[in-house]
Amino acid sequence: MGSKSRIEELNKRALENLQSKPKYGPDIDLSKYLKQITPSDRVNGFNSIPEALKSKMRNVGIDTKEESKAGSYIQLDHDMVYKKKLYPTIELLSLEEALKDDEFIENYYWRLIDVGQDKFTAAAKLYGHGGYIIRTREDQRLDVPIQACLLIKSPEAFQAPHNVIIAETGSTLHVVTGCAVMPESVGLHAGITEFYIKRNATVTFTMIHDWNKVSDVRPRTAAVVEEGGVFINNYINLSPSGLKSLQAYPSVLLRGEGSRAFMSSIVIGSSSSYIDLGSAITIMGKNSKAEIVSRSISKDKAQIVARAKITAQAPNSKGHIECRGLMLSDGSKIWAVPELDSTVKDVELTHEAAVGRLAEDEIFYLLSRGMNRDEAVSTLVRGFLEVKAPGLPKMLEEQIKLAMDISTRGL
Amino acid sequence: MIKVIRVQGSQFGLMLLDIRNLTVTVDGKQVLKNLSLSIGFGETLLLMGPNGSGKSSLIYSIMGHPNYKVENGSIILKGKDITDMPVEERVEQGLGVSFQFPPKIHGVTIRDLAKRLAAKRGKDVDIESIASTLNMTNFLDREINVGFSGGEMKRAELFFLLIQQPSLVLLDEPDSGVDVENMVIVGNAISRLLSNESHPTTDKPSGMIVTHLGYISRYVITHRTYIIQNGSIICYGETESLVKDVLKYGFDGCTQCYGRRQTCVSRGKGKTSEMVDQIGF
Repeated sequence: MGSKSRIEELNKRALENLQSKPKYGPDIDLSKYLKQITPSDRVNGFNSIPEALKSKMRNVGIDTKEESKAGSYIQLDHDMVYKKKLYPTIELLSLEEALKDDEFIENYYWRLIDVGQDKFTAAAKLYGHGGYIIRTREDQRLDVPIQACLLIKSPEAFQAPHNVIIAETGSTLHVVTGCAVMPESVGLHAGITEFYIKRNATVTFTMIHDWNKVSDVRPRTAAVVEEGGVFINNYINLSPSGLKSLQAYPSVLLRGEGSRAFMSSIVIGSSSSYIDLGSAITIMGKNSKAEIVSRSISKDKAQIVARAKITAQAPNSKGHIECRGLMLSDGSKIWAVPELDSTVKDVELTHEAAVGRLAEDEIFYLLSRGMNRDEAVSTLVRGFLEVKAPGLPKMLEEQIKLAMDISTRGL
Repeated sequence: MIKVIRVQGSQFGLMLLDIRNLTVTVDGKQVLKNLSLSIGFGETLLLMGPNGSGKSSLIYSIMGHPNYKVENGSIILKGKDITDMPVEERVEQGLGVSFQFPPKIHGVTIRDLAKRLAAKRGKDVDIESIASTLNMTNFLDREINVGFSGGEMKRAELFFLLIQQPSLVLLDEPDSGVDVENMVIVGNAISRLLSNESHPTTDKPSGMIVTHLGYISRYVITHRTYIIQNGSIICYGETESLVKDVLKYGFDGCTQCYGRRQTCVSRGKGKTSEMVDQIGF
């Protein structure tokens, strides 16, 4: 990497902020996580990965047979263990490879996210390892996704990969990424992801998470979309047995004229999970369109804050927020916080938010078609979580469906 | 003269459905009052009555909606008392329903539910071909009733029933909201539901079609018509003449006739009271 002084500056700012409290979500004492863990060895393919890990991967939408994929990237704890490009012309690197050899990463590394934002970004800079760099060629259109899997398997591991996705002018890229933690591990995940979607490029990014009861999760994500670009982001947190805490608030800047962003999040909160999750989109290019959709289900004692914010600063902006929460128990909590903010007159920003229980007339309807109550409830819960994200390849849609079917069983 | 079709009551033989002295309340308000009605094997009834007379309440009560509390009386299906049976077991016993106002089910497509119903029947069911007979092919991958017109909902309800193949089909206003073009399609679907042409090995299904207009009787052959008023059956007779009378004199005519307990407004003496006696008033 060319600019040594910039890296030094980033490290300095990170060090200064290693104790900075996060704006949202509970604070975490990082000290127990920041220790050496046993490195993971490279593998030749999914065949060399133990079945227990593979089955975990399948739960988060990873296709361990690698059918109809443009490439795969697997990271265990800190280390990239496997990388394969099935489309030779696409760039797929680990962060370390990119930093070592390529000048280009300089313009994309820590450019959208402030390394000093809070202790998690700081720790990611100072103690993070790995992460994937994906870059398309101009006008390259991939109709099958690249898949990335980030798995925590060691106890008390701190996993903070730094991912960078660059879609060059006119290209189309689909990425599906699955993150999970093995049941026996206490882990902290604080991945950094930066997206650069250039003129008339389209990126769909689907992230499926499956954490355990003792996981803390603090991803930091930002995207910039240029003229005519499209960013479609789907976040799905399954974690059927619950997690300790999750806080994320990815932000998208629609910088170019006629750019679009669709951000969806689907969250199931169970046991004593604390979840503070949202998306923010700022519209700076005129004639642009932002949409945020969220579905939250709370059961047991779970606490969910569902945030969404659209800020319009350019004429002829359109924005819509759809925030729905389904309460499955007393004592759990859903707090929907939709925000609309405009500084120009020629805009159309709307939101709808609803929190409630399952409708008895819908349950009765399914009973009257012969389902028992459990079947009817699970059908309605599954239906509630169904969000039709635009632009996904059919194969990927089916994979997501499968992962959600597995996790919503017995909800 | 009204042709009174004598149907054997349960004292003479087994009926498919036998409702005896049923009184039902919703939130303490009486919606059915000492209502008796029976449907023979392979028989289809038309149930007519003004708005709010208890038609839909009767359907909900037969299906076992939790808000409909049976205070008195019993519902016997094929000789089995289903009065307190859970909804899904009633369906297992052969009940199937098309609702007047089915709910929207977000995130569940017509095809999703159709597949579940087909799997429950445990037979090969050609979902696509059933959909095409109802002009529903383009609806298969849409969420149930989301953005559907009234008529489209009715077709979706019939579509599910054609997959379920119930032995007693309860249809609540199956023609309301259906446009002229689709009326024939709906009529044919109902006729098919009530025939055993596609399943010759099973008994011919029975049906009860609820309507406040009687328009549907032009498309579907029904054997008898019952008139319901204030939660009770006040009259019954052969469909053709009774529907004609209702259209001519309105339900008020029925009420007056029942009040005098001797003549039908339009027809000869004696017949109505005979019917009334027969159904146990």
